[in-house]
Amino acid sequence: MQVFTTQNPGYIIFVLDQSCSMGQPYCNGQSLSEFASLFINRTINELINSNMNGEHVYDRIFISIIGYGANNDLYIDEIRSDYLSEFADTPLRIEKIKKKVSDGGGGLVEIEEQMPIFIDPTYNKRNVTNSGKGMEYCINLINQFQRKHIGSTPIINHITGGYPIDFENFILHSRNIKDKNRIVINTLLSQNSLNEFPNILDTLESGFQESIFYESSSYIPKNSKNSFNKFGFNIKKNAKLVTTNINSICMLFDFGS
Amino acid sequence: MELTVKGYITSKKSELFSDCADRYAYNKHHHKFSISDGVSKSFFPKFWAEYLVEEFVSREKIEDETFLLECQEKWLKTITEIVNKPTVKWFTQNAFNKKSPALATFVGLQFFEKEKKWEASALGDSFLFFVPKKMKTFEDCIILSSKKEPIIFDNFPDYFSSIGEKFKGERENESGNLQDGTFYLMTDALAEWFINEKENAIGKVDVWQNQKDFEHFIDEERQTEKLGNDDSAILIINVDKASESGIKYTGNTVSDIYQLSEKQNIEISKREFEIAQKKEIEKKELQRIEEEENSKVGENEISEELELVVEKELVNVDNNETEEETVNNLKETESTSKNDNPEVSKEKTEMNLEAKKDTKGLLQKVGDGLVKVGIFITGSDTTNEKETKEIEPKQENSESNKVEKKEDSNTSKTEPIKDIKQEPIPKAKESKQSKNITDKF
Repeated sequence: MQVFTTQNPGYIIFVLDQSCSMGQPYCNGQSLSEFASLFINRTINELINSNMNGEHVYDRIFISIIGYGANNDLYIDEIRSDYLSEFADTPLRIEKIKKKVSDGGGGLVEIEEQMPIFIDPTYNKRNVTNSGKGMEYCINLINQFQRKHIGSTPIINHITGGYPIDFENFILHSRNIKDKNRIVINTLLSQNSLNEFPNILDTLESGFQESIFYESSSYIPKNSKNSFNKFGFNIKKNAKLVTTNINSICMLFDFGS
Repeated sequence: MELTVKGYITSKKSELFSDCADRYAYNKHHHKFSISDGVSKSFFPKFWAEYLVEEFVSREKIEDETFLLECQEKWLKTITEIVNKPTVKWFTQNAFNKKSPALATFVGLQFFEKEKKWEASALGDSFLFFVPKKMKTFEDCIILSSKKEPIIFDNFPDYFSSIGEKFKGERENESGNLQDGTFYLMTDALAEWFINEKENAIGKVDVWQNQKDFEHFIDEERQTEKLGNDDSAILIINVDKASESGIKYTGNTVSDIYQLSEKQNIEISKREFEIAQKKEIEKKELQRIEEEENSKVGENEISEELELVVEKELVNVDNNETEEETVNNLKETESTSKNDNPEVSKEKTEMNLEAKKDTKGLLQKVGDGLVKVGIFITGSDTTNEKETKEIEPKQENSESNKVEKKEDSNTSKTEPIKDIKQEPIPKAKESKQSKNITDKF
């Protein structure tokens, strides 16, 4: 991965499943939909923290949040698209939460943290998981982006709680995306927790449905392996970006030292 | 002994000098030199890098612990003032509450006049190189850094932290007798390039006479990807006549980041002013063209308006509306026209009155079933036909969508895959927003 700068910004598209499958209960009394929004909110927050010099947020990344399955099976919702500083300056709202952090002397101290909300959870219990349409929709966006920012490597993070009903379309468009210097990550919220990135299909729960995601995901870029290793991941040869780990996306970015 | 000091600094490509978190400093009285690279992902790194380099050179002797503590106090004071401002951003406040530290790499160098010695220490991926005047190969260079062999430049360097006693890694120290040659203190991007280019690098650095030369070089090397796109700073200290007593500084050219930043801001303001002026001129020109066009279009609009009224009235006739209602409608049109540009409205009113008469006649003719009106209607019908042709496929689509929507709503996730495969794959509908997104790129 290249270093992202304000002149050569990165692009991440969150393709969010908002269909019936996201209504399933997940953990801590949350639904998959609630968990997915939390994941996106936290990731953007993390990106803001990684790209601010204290007071100012650098536009080293452009973010799009695309939803499918919320309003109509055929429609794609462009939830929000902006440069990072715009997200930082205008979240939907800010919620205050209490958090325990290290006091520096081995103990914990409770602090108040302002949690920015950029997306609210939503799903439609009548709509099916048309992931293929979500991926198809990204193609125009990344083409346009790469036309303007030549050499950039957009990242498409597909977050889903089910299996694509239009799986042929999904594989086809994912392949089209992967083939042209772009990265596809599949975050599978309905899967049992994965401890590592799979390098063979057998690592995933066996079945035809899992092979769809394995086939549609990119290999971990060589340059990012070091970064993943630093965060305690053991990256095997030919490992692919299929994950249940919500924190893995930030490790793909390099904003320089 | 004669010392010549040169210092150059720049930010990442397309970022501003004010964004640069590299810093250097030197002090002629204490013969001290330092360089630091604030870790960009940390909290207010440029203040931290600045306090480290300034504090180090400000005193001839300073204990390590005192040095760090004083820097930390200074940094915390500055940050607290910023965070206490009412305009503080949520992410700044969060980082402050979490006690997020600033991190920075560091190299410090000191010359001892009497002893004719030098001492240096380094932490992180900022480097010191000493190239003796009588160097034969690059291997004769002294290289100081806390980076262990094999040297890999990444985003996880050792650093000094602005909070607590924590610092990652161990400082490396080096010392030697002063001899003729050049000390180079540089931050990571340049150090990586220097190590890769070896003798070639020394030759290239030696030709820089000023900040402009340096910036030109940086642009070129970034272009060829030999140099990483990162903040870059270098302090070059040339030692000459080392055997002679006393230290004399000659011909120093050290760029000041704040002066560079100020100059850049002035240039930006100037450019913005020029752009604003250009836009203003373009706006005025556009307004002029629009006004010209409007006066032409105004006439066309009236005739179109009239055509519409006539069409409407023709329909009204079909619906057995009275001529009185038709006249009322014409009056409405007239009053609407009055809300337009007064001059145009005046023209419109006059024309409408004439048109009113014509229309009445026309309606009469319609009633009489005259062919002339038939031609008029055919004309408008032809246009409608074209429109209908364009709309037709959409209507087909929307029909098929309706069917599919119905099917989809009855389709459950557990349906056998075989059935799903048989369904045609409809194209994802893109909203108008897509254009808005790409415009933002």
